[in-house]
Amino acid sequence: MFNVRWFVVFGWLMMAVLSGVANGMPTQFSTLDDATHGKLKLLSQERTWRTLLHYHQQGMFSREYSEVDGEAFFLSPEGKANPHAELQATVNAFLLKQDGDEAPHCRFPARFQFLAQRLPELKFHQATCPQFDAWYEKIKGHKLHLIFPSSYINSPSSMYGHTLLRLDGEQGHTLLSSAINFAAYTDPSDDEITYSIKGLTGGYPGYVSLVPYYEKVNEYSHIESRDIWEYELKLTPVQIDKFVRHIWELDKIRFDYFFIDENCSYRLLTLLDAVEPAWHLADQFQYRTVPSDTLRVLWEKELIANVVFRPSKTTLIEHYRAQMSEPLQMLARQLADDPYAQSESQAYLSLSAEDQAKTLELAYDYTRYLALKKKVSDPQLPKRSLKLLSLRAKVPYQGTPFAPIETPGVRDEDGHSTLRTTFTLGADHGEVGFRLNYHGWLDTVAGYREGAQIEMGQGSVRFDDESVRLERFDALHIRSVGQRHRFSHPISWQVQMGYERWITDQQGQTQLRVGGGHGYPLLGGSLYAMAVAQVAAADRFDENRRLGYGPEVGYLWQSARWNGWLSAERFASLGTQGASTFAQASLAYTVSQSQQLRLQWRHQAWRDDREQDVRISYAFYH
Amino acid sequence: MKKIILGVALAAAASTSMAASYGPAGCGLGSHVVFPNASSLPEHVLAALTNGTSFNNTFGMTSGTSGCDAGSPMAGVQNYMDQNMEQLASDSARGQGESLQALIALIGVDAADQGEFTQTMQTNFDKIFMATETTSGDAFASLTEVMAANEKLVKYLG
Repeated sequence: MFNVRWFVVFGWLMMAVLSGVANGMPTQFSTLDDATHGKLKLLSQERTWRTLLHYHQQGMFSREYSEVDGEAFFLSPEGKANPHAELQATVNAFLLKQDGDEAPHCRFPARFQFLAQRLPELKFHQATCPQFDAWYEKIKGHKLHLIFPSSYINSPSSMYGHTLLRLDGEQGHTLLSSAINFAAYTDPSDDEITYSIKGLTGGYPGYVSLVPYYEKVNEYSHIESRDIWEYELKLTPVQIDKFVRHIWELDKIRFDYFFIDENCSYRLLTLLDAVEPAWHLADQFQYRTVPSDTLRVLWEKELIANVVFRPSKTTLIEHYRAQMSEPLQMLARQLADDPYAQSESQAYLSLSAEDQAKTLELAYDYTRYLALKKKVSDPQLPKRSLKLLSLRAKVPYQGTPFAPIETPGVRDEDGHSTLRTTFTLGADHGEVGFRLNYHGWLDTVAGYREGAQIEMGQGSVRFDDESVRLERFDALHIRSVGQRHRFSHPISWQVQMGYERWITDQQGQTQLRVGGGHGYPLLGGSLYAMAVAQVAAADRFDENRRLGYGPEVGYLWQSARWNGWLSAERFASLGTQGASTFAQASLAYTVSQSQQLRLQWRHQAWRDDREQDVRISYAFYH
Repeated sequence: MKKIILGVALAAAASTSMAASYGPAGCGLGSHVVFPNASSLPEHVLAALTNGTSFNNTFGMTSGTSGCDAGSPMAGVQNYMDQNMEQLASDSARGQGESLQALIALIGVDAADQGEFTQTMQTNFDKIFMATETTSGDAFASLTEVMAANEKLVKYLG
């Protein structure tokens, strides 16, 4: 019998069943209401979303787009330039019921975590991600460090340094921790010029990779002999978890690598900004990023908990030498040259166990230095190395016989800032100069490597009562002087490319200059001599060009407050008549970390012309 | 449009990063010798500028962790020895050192037995690092033998 009551009950039951079913079914993107769409639009404008996808304003007027260049990173075809489209595509993907490591839910765990938290009403499908889960279990960590391998001898360009991250987990030793590194993947068959050009213009792809930390220590500390600084960062467990999820998202994702601005250090700051957008770490690095500057930013934001110093092999050799008398050092060198005979000698056998240990260890490290730095491929060298270790193993002394090395008081980022403006005054002229990068021989040496110079983009303009003129522009001026001694044999060298005016005739010349030679310790400084060749174009030369060649000798002295540099050169000429000489003496006084006063005398001669001047300068670093 | 600043340095002595040899097999390569031939390490001017890792074709998140961590406690050890032969040799000669400590952590040696382990490595140096041709596979095998013969260390072989 039909009854209104039955109808109501039936209707009520149907609604209950249907609403229950509706709650269990996944929402379709197309069925999202306007309010949700509005929420998506707002979310796509949030800094959290933008930093996670690496959107960046390019210049002042051009629009924003993602620094990620690999297409696999974007779920929307417009994703690179359109954060909203990318968000919509991501939400669309997360609404689908998909499992396994190819599912977007598994490829983008940081995005998933963020959106699931902000859009709980959409009830994203909780996918199973076996590969991600296994990987996460293995590497999840509780401490994140910024690692900074600093410069090494004979490579001034390494003063730029490199930064990487280290995640400490349950591995049991920091050597087994995960090192997260952003680097360019270059083509080994490229020649030097192609390599430089590609490196500077984004011609190489950069990838984030994860390897055991010992690989990086081996690479930097043992092979390249770079001191390593380890900075513990203050991150919460939530932040570290987000970091781990985000680097998974960057697996095999390409970023074009640009040496000057989007380099390794910049990329690491953007990774940290993705973890905590409130930090704004990468903001000030619009046009250039220097690794030590990125450390300064971390200090400013008070994100560094503590610092550990890990000395390189070369640093250790110097440290060991200082703890050994001259006769012991000499014996160490003899042992390195011939461990078989020398280990039978009275001089060695009469030593205490501790001294035997010392001489053997220094001898061994020296043989390794020879093998790596000098690329000596003498087949006997590895045998000698092994013999030295075998001898050492028999000495009844366990542990290191040397006192531990002290952490240097000055770190790389404590040095002067890398931009420099100079005001110079001579008897009849003035000059204003500017240098873009990085560190020169007369700059205060604290935090930088002695004897190393790399200057890029240095120019100056000269004013006198006649005119205002470009006096100098060096695209590049790199110098390296290393001191040769019993355990170290570096080559000293120089490269300069640019434009300069001669004081004899006020004429300019464009030039490329290279030189190589030796340096030796003398009275606390370095005495050097190099053979130099120069190709120059100028009006004063016959046919407006010449090949110049000849010696440059000099003396460089660097200390905490004072720097002094004397040099003299004489070039004979090919392709033109005449010889040129140039000599200078400079003294620099460090007023503070950001200011210097300098005095310079110069003398130049070309054929029968002679000129000299004395100038005083004020340099300001910023 | 990125700013293009050309820099060309023609003369330098700079070395580049070592070729990492994490192949797809990961574990058990076993062929590394104590002192790799120096001339096989290539040089590249300006390598430091791009921090290039020219010769490492493996990249990404999993290349460093894949391989032989499953199974017996000693499985990850050979992989580690592959990559750290020289460091282990120099630490073993001294009976102390970081690389040796990491090996201890990998094997899972208890604090009480660590002194025994380091001393054993030093005493058995010649047996483990016999010759320059000794491969990491050989060294691993010798290490296992030495541990098996030591009553305190045999239990770590699993």
